[in-house]
Amino acid sequence: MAAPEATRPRSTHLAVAAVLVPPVAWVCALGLSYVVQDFACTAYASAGRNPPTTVIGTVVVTLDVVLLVLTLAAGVVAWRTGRHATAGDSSPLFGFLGRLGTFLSLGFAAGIVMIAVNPLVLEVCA
Amino acid sequence: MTTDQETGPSAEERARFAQTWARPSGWRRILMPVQHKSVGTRYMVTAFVFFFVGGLQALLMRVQLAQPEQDVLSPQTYNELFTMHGTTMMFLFAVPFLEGLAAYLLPLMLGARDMPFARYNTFNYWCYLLGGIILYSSFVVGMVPDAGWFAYVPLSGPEFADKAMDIWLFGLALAELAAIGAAIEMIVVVLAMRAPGMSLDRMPIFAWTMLCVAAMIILAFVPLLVGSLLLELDRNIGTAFFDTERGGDPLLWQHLFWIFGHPEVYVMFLPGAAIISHVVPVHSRHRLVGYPFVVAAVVVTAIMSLGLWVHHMYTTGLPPVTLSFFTAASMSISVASGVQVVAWIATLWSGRPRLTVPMLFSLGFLFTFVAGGITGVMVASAPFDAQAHDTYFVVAHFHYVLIGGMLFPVLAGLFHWWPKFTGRMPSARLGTVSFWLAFVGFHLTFFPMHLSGLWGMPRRVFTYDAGLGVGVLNLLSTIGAFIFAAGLVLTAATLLGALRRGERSGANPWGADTLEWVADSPPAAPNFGRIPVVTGRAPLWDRAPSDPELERMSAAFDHAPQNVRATPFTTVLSALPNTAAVQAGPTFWPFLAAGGLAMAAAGLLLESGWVLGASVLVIIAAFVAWELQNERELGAGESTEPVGGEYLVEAPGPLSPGWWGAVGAAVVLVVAVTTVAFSMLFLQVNAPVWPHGKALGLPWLSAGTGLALALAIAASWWGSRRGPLSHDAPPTARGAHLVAAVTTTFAGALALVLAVAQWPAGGLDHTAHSYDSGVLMLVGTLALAILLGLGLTVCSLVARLTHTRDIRPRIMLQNAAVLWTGVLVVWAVAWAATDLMPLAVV
Repeated sequence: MAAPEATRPRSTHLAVAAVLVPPVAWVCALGLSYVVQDFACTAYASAGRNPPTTVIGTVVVTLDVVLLVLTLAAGVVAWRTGRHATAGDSSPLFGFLGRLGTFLSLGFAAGIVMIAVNPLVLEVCA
Repeated sequence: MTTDQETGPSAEERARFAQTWARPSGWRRILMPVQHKSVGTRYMVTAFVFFFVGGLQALLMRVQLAQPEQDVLSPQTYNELFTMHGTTMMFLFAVPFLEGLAAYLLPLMLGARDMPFARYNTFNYWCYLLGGIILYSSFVVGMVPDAGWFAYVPLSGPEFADKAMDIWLFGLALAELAAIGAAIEMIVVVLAMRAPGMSLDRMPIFAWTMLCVAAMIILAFVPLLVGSLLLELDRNIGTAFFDTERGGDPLLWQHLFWIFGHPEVYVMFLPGAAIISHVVPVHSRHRLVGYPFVVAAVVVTAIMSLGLWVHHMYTTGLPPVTLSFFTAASMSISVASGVQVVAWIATLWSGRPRLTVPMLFSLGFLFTFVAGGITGVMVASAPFDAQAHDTYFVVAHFHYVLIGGMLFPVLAGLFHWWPKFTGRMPSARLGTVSFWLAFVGFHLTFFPMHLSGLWGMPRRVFTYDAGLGVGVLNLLSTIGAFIFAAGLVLTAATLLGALRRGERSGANPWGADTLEWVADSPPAAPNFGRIPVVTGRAPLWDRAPSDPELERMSAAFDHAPQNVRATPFTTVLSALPNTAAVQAGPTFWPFLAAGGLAMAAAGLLLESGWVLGASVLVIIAAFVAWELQNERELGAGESTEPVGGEYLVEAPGPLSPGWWGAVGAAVVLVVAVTTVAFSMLFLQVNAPVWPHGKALGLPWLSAGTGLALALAIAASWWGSRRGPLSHDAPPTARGAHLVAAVTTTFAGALALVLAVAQWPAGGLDHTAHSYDSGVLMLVGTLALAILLGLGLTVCSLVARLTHTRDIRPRIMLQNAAVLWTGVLVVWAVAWAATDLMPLAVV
């Protein structure tokens, strides 16, 4: 019958979460940035009203910053997981998950930054 | 890794095992095989037939364009050919071929004996084949689709397209259904059916990639299926999703199409890249450099590909900030692709490369794909794209990416795995000639298109003016196309010729490292007599001692079980021994079910109520017979005994394939309803008034539906908790299963009645406004979801009434509870879209 995945389920969950959080955060950053900015601006334009561009821009950037922090936090957890594995405290699988999570965190964090800077330099509802 | 045949089941046991896995013979070989190698081979062969037909269409177009102002083809014929060429290559060749390759290779690479739902796998193949036949029947009836493979509205709408577009939509819908089903298969086999010891860090790159690709297919193909349905409804029952006068928007189609269309590019490229990640190390005699980086790059590419669709819509008038979000995403993904290129070059650099035919095609891929990637970065920039959009520059770019990124790797893979598929080596000399013809021909065809595009030649035109100055470039392209075609024909001839005249290859002619090379060439029906145990990332190169627990599972499955098809089910992260998964045997019913669906499509196209009614009967009969056969087989023989006295045949939760299937179905439903809800939100923000009349506003009916669904979840979950984890439960538990199944059925039926009643009670007119059309679509989606839940619940009832294995109805009830939870989410999203979203007014 089923053998346990690891001796410490909490570490297992953390290691897996650290891999899953960065992609989800990036998808949320792009999706929410697009939906909030594009849909809000379009809705105001369709209604013939001036959009509150500062509010929309602030919401988009704030969402992106929160998701960036979450992504980097996942990266820290992943890096610690990898470091423990390298020190021989857990299996090579955890070393791999740690490295994978760290790479994903860095890659997706860069992606979120590239999304977040746009409302800062471009007119939000042009 | 430890290999086969170390210990010895008796000759009689081996014979019984072989008999259990025997392939059907005689006429049954045509319609009944379900084993992954048969299905995978059929996928690949069918896809290549379509590929050559699509290639022929391309050659005809190149003949027309060889000189300016020619009239070899009429404008109408040209439009039909470029529509069918794109449709064929994207929907009938590229994705199905890769699914076929995955169906063939994944179980072998992972150390399993078959795909998790072998009959469903076959059903998907028949859907794909019949979808393709429906599409090509358009030539027979003289109504060939001509609106492009992208089918932009309003060109494809009721005003401008005849029945040809309906043929296109129905054919495509079947092919998409097949792709989504194949994706669920791939996810389950990769996550839960790996050989003992093959933890995630030891998984082949091809398996990692197909896992990501399968997730992409579910997230990206479902929106196209929804979009196809919306367009079909607009065309045939007068809904208003794409009609601006009634609150619709043609741009919605572009969003839905490209939400599918861009990930589709990576659905083709990523498996191609994965093939290279296997071919380059084996033919360089060196491990893949930077395995974790490559896995990360695959994940990043897959995820980011889901967020690039707007870069196909840069010239549709979207705001600059919107464009900038997607430019950022498009630039980011190129970094991830670059990581893989660096890993392949480093592997070549570190190893001792052999210039075999697979390696030649791999190098051809590297050169071509990098070139295509560079032009990809160019068109990812909104200002450049505004200049190059709809010119031949874009045609050149995507052929560099698709042929470089998918076709060359596929050819590398075919030469690499041909000895495994057939037991014969293809001719290296002919293979080399075919490579050079294909490589030179390809670049002669498509490189000049960059220039003709930049010099102003638009795409999708049947001819061009001599004064444009692109005649010579087009002539070169046409000459190149024929050289390219000659290379591909020679490739096919080389591979087919090897079937008879090729040297015998042995199990592992290349000295490769992954598990498929342990099996015979060609592999025996069950793949592995004794399931291999994996101790390293390159199992055939790593020789480390293995864990006794893993060896125990391997021994338990050594030519066993003998009277039922089964394979090990292992844990997701570490691939530790878990349970045994039963594998289905040959049957006719998947063919009949797919045939029923195709018949339904024909009935709708012919507008024949008789054909449609008959098809419904065929579909119901096929699924009922399918289910009865499933339950009969699962109740027989050794299904009631743990394999090796230790590994249960099925167990609740993620320990059996059914649970994964239920989760997959629930996710597909949720993605579908979310797509409809987002479509309504998109239309709402673009409409001056939303809704045009009154909103649905039936809180009691809606809440009643939700409560009935909650009751269905509660009843099925309660029933799934009764009885022990063994095959003989006390009568009280059996009674509880029965009560739970019946209660769930009644709750589901009540939910169906209440959900459907919303439409007449709401007094809406689906032809009046897109909001009303959306409500109809959401009610329909919810009703379909409830019907699926009811179907699974009735299966659990059948299981209870027919089984002596008491754990089976318990498992089925749990699967039903999972699916009902998905249905409840569908209800919540539908309710939010019909009643809550209209309240958001600026």
